[in-house]
Amino acid sequence: MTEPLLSIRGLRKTYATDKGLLTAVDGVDLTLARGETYALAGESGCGKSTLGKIVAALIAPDEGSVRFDGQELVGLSPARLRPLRRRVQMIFQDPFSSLNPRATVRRIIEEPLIVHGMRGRTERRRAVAEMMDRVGLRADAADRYPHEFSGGQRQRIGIARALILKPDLVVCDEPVSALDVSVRAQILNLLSDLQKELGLAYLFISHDLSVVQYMADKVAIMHLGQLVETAPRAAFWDAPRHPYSQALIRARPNPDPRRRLQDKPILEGELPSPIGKRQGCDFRSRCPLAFDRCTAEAPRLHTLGPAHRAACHLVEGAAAPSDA
Amino acid sequence: MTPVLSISGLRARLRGPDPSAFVIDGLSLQVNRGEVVALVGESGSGKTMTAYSVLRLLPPAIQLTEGEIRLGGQDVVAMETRRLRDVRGTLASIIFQEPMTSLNPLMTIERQIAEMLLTHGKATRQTAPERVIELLELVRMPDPQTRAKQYPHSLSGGLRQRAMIAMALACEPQILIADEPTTALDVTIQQQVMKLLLDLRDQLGMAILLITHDLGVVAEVADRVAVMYAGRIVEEGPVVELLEAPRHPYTAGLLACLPEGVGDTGRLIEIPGLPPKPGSIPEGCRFAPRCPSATELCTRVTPETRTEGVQAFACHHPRMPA
Repeated sequence: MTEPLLSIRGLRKTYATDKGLLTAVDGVDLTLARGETYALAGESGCGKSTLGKIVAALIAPDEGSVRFDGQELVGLSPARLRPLRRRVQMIFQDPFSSLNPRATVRRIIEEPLIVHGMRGRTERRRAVAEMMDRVGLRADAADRYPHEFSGGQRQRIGIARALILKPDLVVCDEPVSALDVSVRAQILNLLSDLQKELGLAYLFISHDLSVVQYMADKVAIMHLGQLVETAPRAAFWDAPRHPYSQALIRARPNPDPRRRLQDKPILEGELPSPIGKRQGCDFRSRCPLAFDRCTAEAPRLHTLGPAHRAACHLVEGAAAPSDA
Repeated sequence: MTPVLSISGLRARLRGPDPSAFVIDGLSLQVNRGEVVALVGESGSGKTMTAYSVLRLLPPAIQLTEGEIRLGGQDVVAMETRRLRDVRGTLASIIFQEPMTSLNPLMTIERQIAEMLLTHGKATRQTAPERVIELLELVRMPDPQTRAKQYPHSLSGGLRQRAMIAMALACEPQILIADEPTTALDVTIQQQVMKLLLDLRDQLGMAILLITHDLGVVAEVADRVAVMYAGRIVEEGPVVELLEAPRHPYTAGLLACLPEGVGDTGRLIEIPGLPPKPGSIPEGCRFAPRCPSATELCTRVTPETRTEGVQAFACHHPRMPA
């Protein structure tokens, strides 16, 4: 079997706050294959962006391992990390704050090539022009500044910058959340086309399950720093097993006017705090199915099928005997 | 019966050298008692400015040039400032996407709501604290006694939104204008807040004008929908008919480009291009440059709004009715 492109084991990241220790990522395992889109979904504060930044080697974890194409990234010196950084790039949510306002579009897209000391000036210019064309930016955009563009166009600039180094993996952190629906469709289509063409793998971070359903080959649902369910596309949408996954799928506003909010069951209560020690299942305060054991004991991830795992006491009986 | 809110022929433009920079360009809309009307559009469509104009809260850069706005039969446009202050909160209230922009960070929740009550003579210094707790209970604030004494920053986004709703409802307005009230919230909290608004509508009989970009939310809560594009309402109708059989190609396009519209492997439908900016609105139908059904006629002649059945739309080539 070939080595996975990305393999995360036992990842943990905490932050000291004046109220106590905040656990942002709490023991995450995840494996991503080449050319695959793995969506990381969950509500704000669940740790999905932190996980994305660890994968992109922008922040270091406290514990755990991130292996990229067989090489361990955690603990690598900046010099040894640099050639690997080229292969993992990131696209950010806010195309307004992630682009240097004082640089021209050409300069923004060219910058990664300069940083990595690649190619001569003429060749760089040609690469930038090709990439701009590829993401749907007109050639005359090259000498303009980010503020002259709409949100969608700016996101195209961000995508061009991420792809100019021909990475293998792109961490997309809420790439369409700030965009209007008509523009969102354009950007999602662009991301799918580029993936097929360039063989990219995406770690696709989103709070929006509609977007996840459209983009993802596999889905991981994150809750307070932990993965509560991971599943291939079909298993997730047809038979989600964790009560939190089920609640999120139900909560998704669907443009069907015959499914009214007043007829839907909704999740009451608020998320528990990620600060301090926790016991039992973190979801139990909002879980309609919680019982005694959920207070006493934190559920571990049970394997339910190929790449399908859920952390809930209620799936224990259905679990396959060995880990996939 | 008089509608709670009635807007007719409203126009507003950006102040400045360009006299044609209209952000609202001939808009008419009515909201009846107890009704939830969704005003839907993409950014820059003018939906938020329409909402602000109802309470004369337009930013200084925007000038109302024409049209009539009536709240409970009273003319808002001509109203003098003092009277306007009475109307805000009692006839109509507004809540915003980000509660921190309308909550004072230096005041406890109790004090902010109490001020609202005192200003409008709805309570005295003695009765206010009790009324504040009643209001916090009304919006199902958990542990209202404790929360009342806290400052906005110690509340979560969802609880802040509840505090803001409590403040907006303090003087029992006939209509609540909700500008993207749940956009900044997580879906599970979004559902709680929307459900709260609907329950309050049932309980208090107030109308809701919901400003949103999210057709999913519209489908779940609205009774009637008005779709805005480049400063105008292009289609209006009851929620089921409008979403199941849109007549305007823009409404249809908005629905088609949602990921829910495709199967597992399908490609998303795109609406090509971008909405026009104020001042560079094309002649004829303003959606024509992006419209799959546009003809030469559309680039010349602005379509009039016409009504067929329960839907009204402004299009030369409407889609087939259901």
